[in-house]
Amino acid sequence: MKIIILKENLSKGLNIISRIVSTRGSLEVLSNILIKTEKGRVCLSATNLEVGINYMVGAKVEEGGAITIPARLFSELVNSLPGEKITLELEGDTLHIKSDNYQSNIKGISADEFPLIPEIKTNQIFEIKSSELKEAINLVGFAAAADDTRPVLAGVYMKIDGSKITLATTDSYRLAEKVINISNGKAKKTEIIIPAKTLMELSRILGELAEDSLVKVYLSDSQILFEADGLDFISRLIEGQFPNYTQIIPESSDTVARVPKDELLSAVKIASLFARENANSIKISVKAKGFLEVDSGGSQIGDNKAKIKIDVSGKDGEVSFNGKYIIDALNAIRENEVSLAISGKLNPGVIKTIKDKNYIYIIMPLRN
Amino acid sequence: MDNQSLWQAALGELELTLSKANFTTWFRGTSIISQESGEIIISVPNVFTKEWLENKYNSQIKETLEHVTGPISKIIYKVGQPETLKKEIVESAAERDMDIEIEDAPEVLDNLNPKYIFDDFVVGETNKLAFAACQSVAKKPGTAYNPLFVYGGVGLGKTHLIQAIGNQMKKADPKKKVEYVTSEKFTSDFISSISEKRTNSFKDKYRKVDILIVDDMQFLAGKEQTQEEFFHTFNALHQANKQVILASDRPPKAIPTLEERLRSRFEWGLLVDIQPPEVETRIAILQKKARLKGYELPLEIYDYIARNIQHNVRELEGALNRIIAYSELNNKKPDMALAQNILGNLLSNPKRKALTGRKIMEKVADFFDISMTDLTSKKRDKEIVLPRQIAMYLMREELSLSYPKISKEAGKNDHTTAMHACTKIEKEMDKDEPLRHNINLIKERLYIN
Repeated sequence: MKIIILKENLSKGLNIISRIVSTRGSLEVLSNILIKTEKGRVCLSATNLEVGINYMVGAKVEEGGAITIPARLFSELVNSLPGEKITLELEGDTLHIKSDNYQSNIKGISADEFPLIPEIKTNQIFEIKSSELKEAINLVGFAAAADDTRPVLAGVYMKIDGSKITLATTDSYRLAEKVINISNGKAKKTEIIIPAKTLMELSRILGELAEDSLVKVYLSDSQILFEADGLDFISRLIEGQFPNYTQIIPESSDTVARVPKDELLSAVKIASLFARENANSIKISVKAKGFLEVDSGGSQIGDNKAKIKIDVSGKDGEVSFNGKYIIDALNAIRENEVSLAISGKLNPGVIKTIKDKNYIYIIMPLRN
Repeated sequence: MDNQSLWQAALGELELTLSKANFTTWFRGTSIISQESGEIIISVPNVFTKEWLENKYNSQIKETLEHVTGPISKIIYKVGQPETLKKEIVESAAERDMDIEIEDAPEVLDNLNPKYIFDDFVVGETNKLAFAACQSVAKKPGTAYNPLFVYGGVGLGKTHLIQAIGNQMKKADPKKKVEYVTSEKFTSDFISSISEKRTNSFKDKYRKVDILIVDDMQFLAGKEQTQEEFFHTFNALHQANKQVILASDRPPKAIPTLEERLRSRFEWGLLVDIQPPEVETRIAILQKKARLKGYELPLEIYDYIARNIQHNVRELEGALNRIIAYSELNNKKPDMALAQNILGNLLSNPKRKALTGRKIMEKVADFFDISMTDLTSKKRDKEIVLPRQIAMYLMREELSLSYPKISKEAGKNDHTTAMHACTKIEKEMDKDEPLRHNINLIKERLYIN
């Protein structure tokens, strides 16, 4: 194998795939990446056996071949090399890397040892703009459960029905749901659960690609594949049934406030400083007169209160939430204003975006 | 042959031909889900494994299976959890919503021994924390400390305490479902439920109780499938705020090959240990036991027994029983001379005399699960050096062997190696609780059997 490749391209490719590399696997080859020539281009692959990723990079291929080499060492090396062009040449299992005055040799493991990344491009279920998918993932991903005690909750529920795609997550203290309408949807009704961590990783990778690229989504044999711009991203699905969450979405609320997002975010962040000892419990009171109060509640270290002017409809209301849950949602939302709806101390609160009518976020109240 | 044992047989053979890393990466979580007319379906955890087994190991797997079953026409690999697990996930997901409720189950037998109650437990300095923890768990099950993990050496009252919780709770509310099992029983239940295809009733039995008490947790070591099942059971109960109580002869950290996720869950609640009782408590225990049997012996006899038997409450009771039995048979009032006479043989402890340096080395090797060859080799891996030093320390402590002799037993030439080992362990024991505990456990084993 002999390849001449622009450092910039190689570096970008490595950046995209190398987060998928397994860090604690017992099989050595899993901490390697696969470099393979394919139809005059170079394919970089990595997998941790949950997710597999292929990314095609343009290069001048003088001689075909394939090898796996340690991901971390190779990425760090490529990022540090000064030159513009890098020559990769394989001799036995050793990869020679040349750039300007530098010559490095890395010992690899034969490409035969590398897990095969499955090809499942037969059953396309829909396609979507990459920026839209990324935004949707960011709006729901954070609300999935962080641990695996209930496997389905560590995933993002995806329901595809014609041109409507619903994404939802819950860790049983909060719930996020985002609906996307796609233009040429014709998929028949499908429900799947995708590991949330994997999707967050996909969202990061999509950020590296062009904004307007199109993502094609394929489904087969308990795997899902996202294809875009030379990228194949394949993940396992989580088996099981997602809880029927629709019943907990309140139909109406007693108090609805329209709040400037950034002001609410900083008020909650500041109150959180004081609420750490108190399970992060933050009291929110909405006054019909037109303001909202964020109160950290008293603790040994002190307390904090903030007042924000808002538009209110409905009566006065007061409720306590875990501050972190509010911060997570507000960090993900990109609109300037949000609506916050509450119904007394014991009912869940609802945050919605105003321009986008297809997003809803529900937080269970804290009893205090 | 059923699916499970067929696959186990095949894995046993495959394990020999593959490297450990390869074997664990590609064969973990696989199982046979059906075998019909020469066609075998193997479930694999992910599509990578499927591709790999199909393309790389298929012929090898086929050959291995054929050794056991005869000709096989085809092996099919399917991604997904084995059937039992699949069902369980769907079921548990269906019954869990934002609110979690676990329904009442039919009456289960609890295996509790009604003899074990709090009132009969003698509290001393070394077990009062464990006692208090158990009492508060019995008062507020599911909320106080969940899970409660009690550990301590042989015959110090772990079983008594954890059963007392169960008995107390049944007394307070007879409708409560208390299940007491040893981990052995749990394992054998699990295995027979698989072979008899009634995993659901197994789940019903263990997941619908109000309090689950599992004794002798250390026997779960190395049983991966059972650990996994226990993990799910544990989660189901813990999430429903049902009390889980566990007992073991060592802390979770010291149970070898206990899965990390289980270990961390055991440490969620409260860990309490029971140490061997000090002499006053031993006397109190003897008095209580004698009184329960309707006897009152002179204090000097209690004192004599308590001073001579130090590490094990069960032995203490045994000695007392001997004296009582003897005096009953011969219709003699027990006195000091009688006690000395009867217990003389017992206390001179022939086993202590039979103990040799070699025996200590063997017990230590056995305890840490390393080979004798390694223990006496020149290897300096951390996993071997510490056991070797502990063995040397024990030879000095228990047998008062000379340093040169100790060095020789441990495969070393220089007597300073032994001196260093003994001082080091002595020093470490002062500040290292787990080490002290391990050494106590080994000491116990030296004199049992």
